[in-house]
Amino acid sequence: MTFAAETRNVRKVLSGTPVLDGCDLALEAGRLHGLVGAGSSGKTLVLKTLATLLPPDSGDVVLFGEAADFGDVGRLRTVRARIGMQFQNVALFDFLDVAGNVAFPLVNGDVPVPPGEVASRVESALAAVGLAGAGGLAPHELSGGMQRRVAIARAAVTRAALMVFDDPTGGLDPVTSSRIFGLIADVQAASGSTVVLASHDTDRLARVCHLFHVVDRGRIAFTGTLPDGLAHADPAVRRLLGGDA
Amino acid sequence: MTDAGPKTATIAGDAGGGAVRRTGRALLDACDVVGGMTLLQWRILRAMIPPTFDYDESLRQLYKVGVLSVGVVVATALFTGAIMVVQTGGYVRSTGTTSLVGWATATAVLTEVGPVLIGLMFSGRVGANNTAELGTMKVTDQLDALRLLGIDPIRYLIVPRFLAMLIMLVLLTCIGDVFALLGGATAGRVVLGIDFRVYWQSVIESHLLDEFLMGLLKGFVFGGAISIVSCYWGLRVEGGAVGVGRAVNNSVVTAAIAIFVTNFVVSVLWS
Amino acid sequence: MELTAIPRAVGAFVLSAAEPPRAWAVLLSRSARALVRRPPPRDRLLSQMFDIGNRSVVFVAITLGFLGAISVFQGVMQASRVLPDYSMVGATLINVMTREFGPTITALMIATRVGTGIAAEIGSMVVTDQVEAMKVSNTDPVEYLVAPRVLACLVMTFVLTVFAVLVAVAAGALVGYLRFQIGFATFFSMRLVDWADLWEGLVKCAAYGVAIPVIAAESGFRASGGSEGVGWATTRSVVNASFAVIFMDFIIASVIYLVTG
Repeated sequence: MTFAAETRNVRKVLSGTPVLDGCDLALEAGRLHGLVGAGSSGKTLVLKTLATLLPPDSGDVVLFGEAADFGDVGRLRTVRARIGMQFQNVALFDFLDVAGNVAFPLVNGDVPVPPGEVASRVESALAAVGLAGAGGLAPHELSGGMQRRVAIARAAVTRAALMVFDDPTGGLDPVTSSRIFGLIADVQAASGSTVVLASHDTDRLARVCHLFHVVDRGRIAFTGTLPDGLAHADPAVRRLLGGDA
Repeated sequence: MTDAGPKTATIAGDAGGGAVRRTGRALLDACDVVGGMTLLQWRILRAMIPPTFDYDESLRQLYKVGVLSVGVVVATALFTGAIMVVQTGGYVRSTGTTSLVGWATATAVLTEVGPVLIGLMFSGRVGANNTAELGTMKVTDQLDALRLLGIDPIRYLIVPRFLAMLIMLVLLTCIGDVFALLGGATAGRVVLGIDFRVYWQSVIESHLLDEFLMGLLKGFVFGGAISIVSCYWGLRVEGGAVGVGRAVNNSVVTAAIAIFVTNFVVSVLWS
Repeated sequence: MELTAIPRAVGAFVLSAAEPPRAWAVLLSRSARALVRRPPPRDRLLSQMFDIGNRSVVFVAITLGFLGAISVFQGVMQASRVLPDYSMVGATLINVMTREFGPTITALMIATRVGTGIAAEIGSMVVTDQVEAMKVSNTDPVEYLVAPRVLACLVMTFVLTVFAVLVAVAAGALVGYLRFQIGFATFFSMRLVDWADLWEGLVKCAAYGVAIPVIAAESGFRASGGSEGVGWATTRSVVNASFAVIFMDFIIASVIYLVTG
């Protein structure tokens, strides 16, 4: 079994509170992973650590078989070129239009994509999330669901080997949520990338994800398939996966 | 959120023909702002009769507005006085007269430079903070929550701030004047080599009570202006974090304009 | 408590003022390196210059115009106590505006108008994760956001200062002519301005032009936690940038005085 991304015994203390406490997350390559956990259990921090945005106090972040060196900016850049992330806060640049946002990783990356190709890749990425022709709009002109879809397109546009989606359906209605989970599953199936998807919505996660990881108080309490998780000895794990406690 | 979305003007956006429209729009906006502030001033004054404002909130504001900005005011004043003295250096060097340095520094500091610079720093420290605070309350619906409890936000939140700024900027100008003169004395000694005694004698013999009082009046006027401006922009915030940032920006810009304009008016009317 | 409040507040202020300069130096050197290594594209630079310069024109004109007017007014009032000779008022105003009030007050206005803008913009980008999104796209936020602003602000500080001095002197001349019957020929006298004054003004412009965007950006990067954080960052930016301007004014003026002595 090969892992595309791992955190090994990661610890992180923020303003005196240990937020990650011996966190071991291992993501099997080419699968769609669901990450569940209660609010403030450290889901976002695990994902940011995985995307090399948050240097751990101790422990290792291993990406594509190599431990990330947070002191070496050059090496970090090569690793980041293979990661795409959608943020919990959506994080669309308000000084760019939709097309500019989706094109940003292509234009500003280490290996700039030729200008002719940028437009077509942006258009196909937008079409994949059902927003063909919306490239000229400003982010604030879009609804919350549309903004999330643009953020997904931006995270997926580089066809990154590792894609990270942090709560892509937070605050959205059930119909839009189902669509967005479907979109992410499609993106994963088409690209064969390793995808990790954090959400509270275990019912919808169950329909698309191959493997599940439960975060509890800054560590990974469970990794495996949904049936295994629902039969887990720890009632907290069963509850977080939507089973009865 | 309809057509009046955030301003996203671009350079190439409206060339030619748009200039007149832009000027007109800017003038209308300015009238809107001035009108809104006048209205707010009126509502504040009405809320003060009868004077039943919140005692605790008033004390809290007096502390926050006054005591917490003493540091920045003192530091600013020390350097302001020092700069004024250094500026007279060329004159002192060419004429050899040191007896006028105290007079020149004290006059400039007490009448114009002191109140204006202290006012600007006060606007940055207190005014901006006030806008951000009220703005955050607005975007997190705290103002509506107050209204729902039958509490008038103007009486409960705005009046104490208005009074605190009015009173405190006068006192801070007082403190600032003293420290500016001290800063001037120190700089005169260190940079220009003027004896402390010569400097203070020159300050005292200039009989600047009139100038000092005008400076305090300016502090009073600026305090009122800054409170109205900062409350106005704070209450008008819309659209989350971006909106709060923009409101603070508008608040300090408007306050600076208000300071320079009222400064001119007070100076001219006083003499 | 009343007696210790003032020294305690001063102490707290000094302590809090001692920490940021290190962060400013780091940010400054990083943006300077970014500017040398990869100069910002023309359009991004131009749009920043437009934002910083053109949109401050009216604001600077109003504030410095009133400053010039009141300077002449007060100058005449003070001069008339000694002897009613107003012939030096214009020359003195031009001198003081060139080396002192022109650059410094304009810089305070830029810190107010532009500095808070930069802090608010970067602050909201930080709290909405836009800066993180930039990093994950392998774009250095300092290179992308700060470097163009520093260069644009440096250039526009010179431009705005020249403009501000012209407006202030013109407003002063108008007051002198209308209220005190000082002829324009007498007023517009350059005989008190020499090269040293001009250099003093230019050195100040350069120092302020770099310091303001760096300080403002640093405040913005420190924002955290929603709209409250953005408000805090903008407030911090005005105070720090304004105080830095006043402090540098004193240092530069003193050094020039002592060096030319």
